[in-house]
Amino acid sequence: MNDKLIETFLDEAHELLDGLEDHLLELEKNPTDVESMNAAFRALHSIKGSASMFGFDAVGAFAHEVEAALDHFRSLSLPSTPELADAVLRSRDHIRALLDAPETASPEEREDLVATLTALSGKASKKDEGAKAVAAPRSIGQFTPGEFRTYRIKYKPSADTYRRGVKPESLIRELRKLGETSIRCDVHAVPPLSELDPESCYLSWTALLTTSMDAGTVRDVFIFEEGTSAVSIVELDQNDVIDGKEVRRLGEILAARSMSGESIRDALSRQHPIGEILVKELGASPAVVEDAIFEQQHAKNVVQAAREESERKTIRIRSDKLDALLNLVGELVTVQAQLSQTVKDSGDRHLHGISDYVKRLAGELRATSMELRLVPVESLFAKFKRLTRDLAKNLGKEIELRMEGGDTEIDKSVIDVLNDPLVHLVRNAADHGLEETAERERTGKPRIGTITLKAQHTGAFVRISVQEDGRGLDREKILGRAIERGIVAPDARLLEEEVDELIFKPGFSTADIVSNVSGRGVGLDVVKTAIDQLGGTLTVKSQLGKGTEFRLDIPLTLAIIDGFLVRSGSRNFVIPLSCVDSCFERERRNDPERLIVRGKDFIPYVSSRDLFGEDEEPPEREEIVIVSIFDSKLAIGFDQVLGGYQTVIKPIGEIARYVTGVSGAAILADGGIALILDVAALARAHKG
Amino acid sequence: MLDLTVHTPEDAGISAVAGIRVELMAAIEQARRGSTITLDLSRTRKSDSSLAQLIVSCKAEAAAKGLKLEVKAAGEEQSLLSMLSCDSMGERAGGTA
Repeated sequence: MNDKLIETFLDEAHELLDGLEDHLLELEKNPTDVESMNAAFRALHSIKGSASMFGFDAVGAFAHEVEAALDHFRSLSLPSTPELADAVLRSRDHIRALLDAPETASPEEREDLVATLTALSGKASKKDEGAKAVAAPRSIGQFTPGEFRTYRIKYKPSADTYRRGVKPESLIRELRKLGETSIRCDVHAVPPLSELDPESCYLSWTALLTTSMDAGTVRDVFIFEEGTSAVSIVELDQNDVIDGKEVRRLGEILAARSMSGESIRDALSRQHPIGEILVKELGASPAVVEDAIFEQQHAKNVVQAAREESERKTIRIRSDKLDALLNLVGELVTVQAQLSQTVKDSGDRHLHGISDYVKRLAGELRATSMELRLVPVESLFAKFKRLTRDLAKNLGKEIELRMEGGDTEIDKSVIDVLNDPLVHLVRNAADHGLEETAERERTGKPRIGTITLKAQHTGAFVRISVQEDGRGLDREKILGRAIERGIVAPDARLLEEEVDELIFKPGFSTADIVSNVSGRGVGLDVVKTAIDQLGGTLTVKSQLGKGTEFRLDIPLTLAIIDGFLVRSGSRNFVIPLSCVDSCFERERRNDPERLIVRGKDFIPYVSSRDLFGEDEEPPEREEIVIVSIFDSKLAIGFDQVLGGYQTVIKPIGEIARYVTGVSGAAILADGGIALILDVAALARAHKG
Repeated sequence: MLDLTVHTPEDAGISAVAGIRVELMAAIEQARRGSTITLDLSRTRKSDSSLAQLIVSCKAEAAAKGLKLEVKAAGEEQSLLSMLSCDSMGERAGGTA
């Protein structure tokens, strides 16, 4: 078998397993969620099918067993149970082990899982039966009227639907998965509050669905409502509404529905919406006109979605190939800078034009290749659903994980490095930050503790925060422990945030104060070091009794930045352009102040010559660059400002650990080296 | 003019709507013509179409009594369209099969 095909299968299987995990976690929270049950079933079915096809027979056979158990619950419309969700989650892990490291997947575990699943489904596993095939609907990007059908589905749940434990909107969500939908909920039957029985359902839904699936599959969505609620599924003649790939005009649609041509022509000749005239003045049925408008709008959505999707086709690319591309682009950027310098020195105007063009192309190529490496942070966050669920179970706490800003994009290499620090923080939040359920209730908090993972862009950085609504940091105890450990002097007077920062100190173990101080600090120095090495910062905000938030501010990319080139003596420095607030020139002072005044601000000042030494006599004038990062500003004095400069970051490894304020190096156009300043570290070191 | 606020609980699904209705009815009773009743969903984490139905019903009741109902939602998932899983809402009969 072709290695590339197997690699593709493994990639897809991992994605399906991740999706399966999500659906099972949802099912654990909402055992009656038909949508999640079906989605979990589909994921298992796909894994089973493709595993058998690619020769992963053990995976195929085991997935079949799990699928059979799940199908038993699904086909009998039984709600999931915590035991079922747990067994299928463990089965999911077993499948993953079979795929990644078969030697670690023990046959005993397999047998145990099969026995558990069989016992749970209350019947022998369906070894000899082929499980029901649930083919996935074709993408709307392949829309052609002949191959796709449009159905009008009307669903009027029975009055006792809610009492039967059915959520009608879940069925509608299930319907949405079959294709392109337009869905209208009719609320006309809902009475005023004084007459409302809140546990009766007065709602009804009308859906238009364009799909590659047959009517039977559409009907299956409502299979458990048959005989209790009113469901009608009618296939529409698409030619009524769509001509080829163009949507017909409303008049044409109505004409096809036996409305007289004369009425339509009359209505069209006036300056009001045709539907309004037909109903108000020419006695057309509002229902017919509304249905036609609804169908026309749906057809527009289908055609638009098909266009957009066909324009947005994706292919899989190995990430190491993207890395190689970015390295090449990095080299190109360096060579282009050398070319620009050479051309400038030559004074050749013709070459100057060509060089400018190369510069522009290199810039665009760089931006595009950077974008290729950006992935939504959601892919990182998704893993924490399972972690939180397992932590909650092990700790006997009720924990809800919330995620915000999952679509925030960040360089893939940054995502890879962030995983371990975030795992550490989430573990700490669940284990030590959140109180026991009984304690929360005693203090008037919701039973369920919340951990929120949030991502948002802030300039050239992305801020990822891990926040919980637990007990908060107990500063008195932290300070006591720090004094005891000799981390701070007994008479030290520290600001609140300085006390909070103590938890990041190496050796600040909280192992013996976990039970009463929230236990912050277990290995947090390790997390901080990892974030520092990324050129980011880790800070903590906490309020006693309310909770704690850890903020990780990470550079968006670790590869290429827009820089601001400056010089002192013979040394060149690059400041990330996003951190440059302003710059100005002044007479050099022999005894410079520690703070400079700009407007209403007092800004700490430091000379680059003091920071990095001096090798030449300073010029009479000094260039001050004010850098700004998060809430801090710092004024740095240089000899000369050289301007904007696109910089490929070259790591300098261990050296960076011994030089505060340097995060990397860059090769300049003339072959020289510039140090890239770590503005966050400098701002921290010189905080006013 | 007396403006009143009714808070919905964390789980505002079918098991909670009867209680929310009682609170809303009490607020409507207390409110004077022209007042605003706020239904605050910010504490709510779970909601479904039964809550959406209750809101639609309360809006009708409030309008009939010259009151205004404002819904304070914490996010998009608490919009009526989201709770009802639909793209639009219709007032006319025609949803029956």
